Amino acid sequence: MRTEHVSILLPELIRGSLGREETDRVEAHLRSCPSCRSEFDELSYATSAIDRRPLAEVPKSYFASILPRVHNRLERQRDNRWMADPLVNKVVLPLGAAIVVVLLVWQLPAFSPGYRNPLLAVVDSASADEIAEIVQNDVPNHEAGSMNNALIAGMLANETFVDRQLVREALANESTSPFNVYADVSPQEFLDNLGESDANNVLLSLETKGSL
Amino acid sequence: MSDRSDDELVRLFCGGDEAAFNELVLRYQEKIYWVARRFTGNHDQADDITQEVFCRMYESLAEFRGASSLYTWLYRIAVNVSLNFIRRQKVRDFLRIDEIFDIEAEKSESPDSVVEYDEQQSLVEEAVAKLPEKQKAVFVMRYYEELPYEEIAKILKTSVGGLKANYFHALRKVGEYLRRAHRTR
Repeated sequence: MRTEHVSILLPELIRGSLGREETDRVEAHLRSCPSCRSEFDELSYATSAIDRRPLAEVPKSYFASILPRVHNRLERQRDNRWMADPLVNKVVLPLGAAIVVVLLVWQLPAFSPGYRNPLLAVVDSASADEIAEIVQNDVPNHEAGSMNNALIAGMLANETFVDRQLVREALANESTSPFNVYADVSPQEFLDNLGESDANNVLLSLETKGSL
Repeated sequence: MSDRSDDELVRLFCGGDEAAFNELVLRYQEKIYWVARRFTGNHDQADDITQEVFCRMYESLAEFRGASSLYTWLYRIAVNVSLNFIRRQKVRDFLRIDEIFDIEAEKSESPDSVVEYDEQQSLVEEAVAKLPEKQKAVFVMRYYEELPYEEIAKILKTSVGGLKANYFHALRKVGEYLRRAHRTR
């Protein structure tokens, strides 16, 4: 008899639930197999240790409290039954969630109908020289794609390129503009690449200079 | 408690007699509690499971066809609810949801904990709690409930051979745990 076959029968041998014939076979194997014998001793120890250990105790008064609490729970479940209704679960709740998300998104400045990109104000009210100077002085370490600061400053300084109307349209439509012809960078991209803190620096400096 | 049979109480309940339901709860609450307790090794969890089992009994007693005894039917519900509870608990432990929502704090204020006692998990409960899910299920059903393997196989939807191996490993692990604890405590 192979060892693993005897092993899984050992718990049954210990609890006395094997038939006579099988008991004889397993016992005969145990007499000739030290490894199974040691397994048998281990499991016998486990069984007697479990039986010896006291069970956890629960006060009788606890059981008297179950029934009223079952009724409370049933009542709560009845109150919440509408939640389990497939119509509520599959239609009303998802629809409600979608409406809430749309309303929240609508509140975001960029999605509001009255929203105006603050950088447009810069474009509107500052001269190209001013912007170029600020970019050069206040954002000295800024890297905008393949352009270096001198090129940015040069582009901004050149009135030909800084056509306010074009920049305004580009910002509004996120389309390309004449900037791309020279630097492969749209005004939007350039302004985006400034990053929030750099853009704020520009705005702050313009404000300080009274340009806004 | 009356000496009316389970079948009679089920019939009465299905006819609208709520008192018959109460009688069935009182008849089986202790047994079901201990099934849940052996699965979870924890009083609060066993209490929760016990209530849930009877709520399910209330909801589906009308579907009970008497193919098995009422206790066997209830026992199966208790095993399934316990196993689901253990699985959910495992996920909760992994995500540590209890900490985020402070569920324990909420629990201690709920009316469900009206009966509290200084609960001490026994050493055997500790050992059983550490078993993998399937070994735990087989151990509880075989060792404590003495269910035949064929019955356990039906409940767990698995083969008898695999169950015997699971039971062997479970018993050995519990024995090892108790032996180690005996040495160190």
